[in-house]
Amino acid sequence: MVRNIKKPLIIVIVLVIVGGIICFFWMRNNSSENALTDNTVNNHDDLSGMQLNILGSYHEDMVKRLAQMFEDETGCNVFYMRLPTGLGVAKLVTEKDNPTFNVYIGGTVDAHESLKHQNILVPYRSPVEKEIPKEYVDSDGVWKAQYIETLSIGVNTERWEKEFYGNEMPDTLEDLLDPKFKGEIVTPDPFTSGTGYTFLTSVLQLMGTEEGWKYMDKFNDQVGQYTASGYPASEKVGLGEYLICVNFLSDQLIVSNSGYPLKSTVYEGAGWSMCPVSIVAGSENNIVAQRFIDFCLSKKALDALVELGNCVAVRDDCIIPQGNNKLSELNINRNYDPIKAAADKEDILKKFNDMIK
Amino acid sequence: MNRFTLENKPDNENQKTLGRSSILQFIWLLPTLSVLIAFLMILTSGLPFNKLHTIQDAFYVQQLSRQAVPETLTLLDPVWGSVIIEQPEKVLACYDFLTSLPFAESGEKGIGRIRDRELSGTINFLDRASIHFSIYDSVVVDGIAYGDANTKLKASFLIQDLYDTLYTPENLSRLIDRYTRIVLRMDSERINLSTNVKKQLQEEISSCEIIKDNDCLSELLQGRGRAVCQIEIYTNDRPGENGSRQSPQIYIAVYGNGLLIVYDVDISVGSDMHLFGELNSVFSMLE
Repeated sequence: MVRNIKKPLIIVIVLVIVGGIICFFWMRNNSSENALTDNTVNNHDDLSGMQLNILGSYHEDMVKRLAQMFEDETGCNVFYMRLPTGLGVAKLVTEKDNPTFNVYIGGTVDAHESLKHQNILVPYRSPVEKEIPKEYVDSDGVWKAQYIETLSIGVNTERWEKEFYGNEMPDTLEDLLDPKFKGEIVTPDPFTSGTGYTFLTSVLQLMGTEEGWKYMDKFNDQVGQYTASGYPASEKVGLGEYLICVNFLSDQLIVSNSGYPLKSTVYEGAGWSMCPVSIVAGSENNIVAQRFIDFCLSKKALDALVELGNCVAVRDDCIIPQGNNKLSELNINRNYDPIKAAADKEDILKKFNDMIK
Repeated sequence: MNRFTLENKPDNENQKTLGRSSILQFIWLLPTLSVLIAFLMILTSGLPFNKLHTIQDAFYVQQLSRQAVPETLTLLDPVWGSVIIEQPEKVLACYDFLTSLPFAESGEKGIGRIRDRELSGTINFLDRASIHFSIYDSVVVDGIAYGDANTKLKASFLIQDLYDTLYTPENLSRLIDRYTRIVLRMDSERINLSTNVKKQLQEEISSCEIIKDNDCLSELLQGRGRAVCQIEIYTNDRPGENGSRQSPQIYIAVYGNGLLIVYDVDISVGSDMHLFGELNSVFSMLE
């Protein structure tokens, strides 16, 4: 009798167990599939199987190195795309309702500010940001700077010796307007390049709007070529294609450290900018994006950028760039306000466009 | 008390026997039921396990299995030349990308170019005509432009992977052979390399090690100092259209600690490859 009662009971138990096992495996498969698309569910340190899409406006080698380091560290799949700042912003604005990227790294701070006001970049409080001086972290918690860039005038010394022997090298903004340099200056395009925009807006802030635009009008006549990104301007001068470049010092140092004859001078009143990292809206709860921002602020990530880009990292414990200064020793023009530059960007670019027509 | 214990002993044994048999039944039932459930799942899943299929002939089957099976991928960069990729995952990734492209939306204009220099390629199949594609402003497959807003991004991701096969010491070494004007530049001195020196340089470059390990790269970058010389590869000997000065297309910054940094001027912002090696034999030939 006891046997007769227990038999169906055992069958029921076995069925429940087997059903449970099937359900367990089915749910496990489902959750691992979800984890690939929705990175919010994973709370573990191991990010393997997850994906991070980076939009970067740093040099390609810098973006690639950060991507590879993060991939090696976490096991997640990292894809990146490199665009100059202006095009990066345009891309993020176009994709506002359906973003492809989880994070935006690099470019100048005005770009991050502008995207913040359009709610395309969102706040994230990183536990690592306490390692960074407060002035280099957005008070709204959106962007966090990785390094600082200062504008500089670069001259090809070899060509200078041959063609302008005995003359003083240009080291002020006024010097650049000398007619003998007409067509010999290469500088980044303010529309596509954050460096280019920093130069334009810093001139306007330094000289005042009216005088600034007069200067830019004359300067525009001197320019032989506007480049899409900041770095190629120094490369073109280093290789002798042009005589003078106006772009960020760190870009010029890469070329001069490569052995090319490029002399840099940080002119009086030179503009500067911060190069930050931010999370793109839609990825605010994405654990991979958050971990990547934390990683970007770490000493090893910043050191990697300094090694490749000769830039000045915002953490004072980072290595000193070759030929550049430490952050605490950097003499930047405190009168220049890169955040104000972001607020005026649309109007300034419109006027610049009218000017160069 | 004793009697109670003695009277209860057989019952305990019965219960133990019953328990054992239940466990045995459980062990027997588990695999049986699993097999049964799996069998039922297969029967009801609609898979053609119990259907009759006629195979026409062996040749037909062979053809079917070979159709649209990508075999190799030939990449062509105007500067770096061509390279044949045989790694199945890379060939398949490229094939999957090209076959998943939507038709180009009219008036579709994405942000920025995919590449600043056209990259073209051919996917070769075991038994069907090859597919030719090019990636520049848009993705063109067999003469037809494909793609939507996301295509540029996907193409960019694909190129990252494919470029690892182009940027190698062996390919760099081939460039030295391919182009006539290779210049070694030290301070303001420029030396056009002779055929013999170029040959030696080729050997040295092809034996260089590509640096991918982050710690190793870090150590080399931090200890590099200023470059001792540059090797410039000129792919075009004619001056620019507006009489502009001629610049090298590729240059290699050579550092004292054995680090070589390769820059491809038009294609990327920043360096493209980090190598480790010795060029001493080249320098001694020049002396």
